Amino acid sequence: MICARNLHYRLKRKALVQDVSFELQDGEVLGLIGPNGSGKSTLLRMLSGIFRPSAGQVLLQGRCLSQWPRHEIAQHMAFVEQQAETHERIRVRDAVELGRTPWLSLLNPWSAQDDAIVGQAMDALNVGHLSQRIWHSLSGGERQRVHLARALAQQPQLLLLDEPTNHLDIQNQLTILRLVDELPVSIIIALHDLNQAMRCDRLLLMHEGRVFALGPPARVLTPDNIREAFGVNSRLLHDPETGQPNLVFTD
Amino acid sequence: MSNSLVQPVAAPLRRGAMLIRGLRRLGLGFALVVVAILLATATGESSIALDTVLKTLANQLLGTTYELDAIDRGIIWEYRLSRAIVAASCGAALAVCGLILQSLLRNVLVDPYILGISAGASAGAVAVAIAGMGAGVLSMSAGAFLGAVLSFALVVGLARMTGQIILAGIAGAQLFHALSSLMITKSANAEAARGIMFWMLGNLSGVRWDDVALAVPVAVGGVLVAGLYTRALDAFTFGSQSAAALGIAVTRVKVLLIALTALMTAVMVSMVGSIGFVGLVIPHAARYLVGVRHAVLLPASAVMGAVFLVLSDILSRVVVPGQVLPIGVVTALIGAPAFALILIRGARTP
Repeated sequence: MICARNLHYRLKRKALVQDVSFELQDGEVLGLIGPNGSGKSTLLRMLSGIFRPSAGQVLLQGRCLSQWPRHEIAQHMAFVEQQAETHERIRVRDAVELGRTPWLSLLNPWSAQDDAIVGQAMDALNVGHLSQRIWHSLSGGERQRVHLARALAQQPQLLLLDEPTNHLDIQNQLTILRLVDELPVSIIIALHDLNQAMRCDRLLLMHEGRVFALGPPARVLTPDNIREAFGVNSRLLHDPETGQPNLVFTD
Repeated sequence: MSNSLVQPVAAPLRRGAMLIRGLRRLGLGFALVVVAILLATATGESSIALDTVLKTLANQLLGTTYELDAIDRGIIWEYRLSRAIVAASCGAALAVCGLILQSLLRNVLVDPYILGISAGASAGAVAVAIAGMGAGVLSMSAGAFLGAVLSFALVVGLARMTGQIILAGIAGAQLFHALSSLMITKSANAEAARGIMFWMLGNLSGVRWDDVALAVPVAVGGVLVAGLYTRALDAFTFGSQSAAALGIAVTRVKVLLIALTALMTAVMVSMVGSIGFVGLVIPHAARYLVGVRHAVLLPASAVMGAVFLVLSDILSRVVVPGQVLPIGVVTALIGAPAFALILIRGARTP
């Protein structure tokens, strides 16, 4: 699907990302974890082609991202920022319709099919009933769902999500994660909550811009790794009813 | 995602209907502009019957031979009509420039005037016309364009350092207005007769058919080119990064549209001076009427800008009997309170 090869990103001589390599399989959900400033957001922006790597390559379907036309990249992957806001009095339906942008041109104007795709995306994220609402009247959770619906309307094979549950209450966090789980696409998702990260297929733990660990959650979220990367102690407990693993932290 | 559930509901019919609706609206907009221009041609210090106006136009355009007073004919054809058409072109161009800047910079309080682009264009035009810089090589419009680009670069540079684009714009506007004043005051050139007031507040007197031949193609061409980018402008709703993620070549689109804005502003300013508030207020009024989608918002802004400036010009000629106000005074008297309203509303809604 997508492949990162020795990615570096420097800003004013400060290295934000150093030598990151990994490959994402079709349909895989990869969680990006790491402390604040460890380079997760920068890595996501390089993968989406918004930032150009200082060194290294991103390969999308085997072809270097810098050789792709911008709109074709957007036909393959969608990116949802942490909190993209607007001052425009835009309606929810219009905001989701923006997702069709990469597919439209003078020769390919808006069609009934675009209408249908937008409708499906809104249904998938359960925002259909908000269709005519103005952006500013939405709650944080609703806004994030609208962003996800817009991303889905791009019909991407890969979704890049930068902490989509940030600033949301627990119910909205779980709703978003459940909806994301159900999407039939490959996903790279930056997450803060390590317990939420456990539901990913694989995790990439970043520390000071580098890959600290990469693998299945059980192998990445070890007390040693967590202590080294986050500077806290942790223990793994198991839910007495479901048997699900759960991390608890102490400093 | 599969689309198997999707029924292609009469797509061609719907698209055709939308096209017809769009054309009808465009026709309506064009008609409004024409009516405003006719009104401007009939009104003024000496009021001329609409009948005479139409007969004059018929004589000039259709080759009819109605008997008309030569002075009326002169006022209508040589003076008022060209002036009204230039006013309409300026209004459309400035409104569209304001809309583009507001969308690209994601700030509802910017337009070419506030960002100092108009002042830069003024200074550039003055440098060529009065101070004689690049004489013989640069036209006044070209000088204005260079001034506009320079001032915008300066303002954006200052805004990047401070994060305050409005204040940076004010600083830039003050600087370039001061430079214009300095150059005008220093020279005893005949062009200086147009005066400092002209470049600071704008003035449509002295506009002739030569100006029409420049203003109309630039306004119409500029609006058409901008019209190719309505979807890209929509994509900036949630910011540049979001636009990039939606497949917009952000840098290319920004450079192109800002150059277009500088060009349109420069050509208009070199003809009529820097007229404020059109680019700021009109896009807001248009958003209020037609919503935020640029495919509709852009032509609506162009039409409303054109009508607004023609009506402002009429006001400037009749408000003080026997005197013509600089048109910038009228647009500011209407625009400044509107600006205040926008500020207040912005402070109320998060």
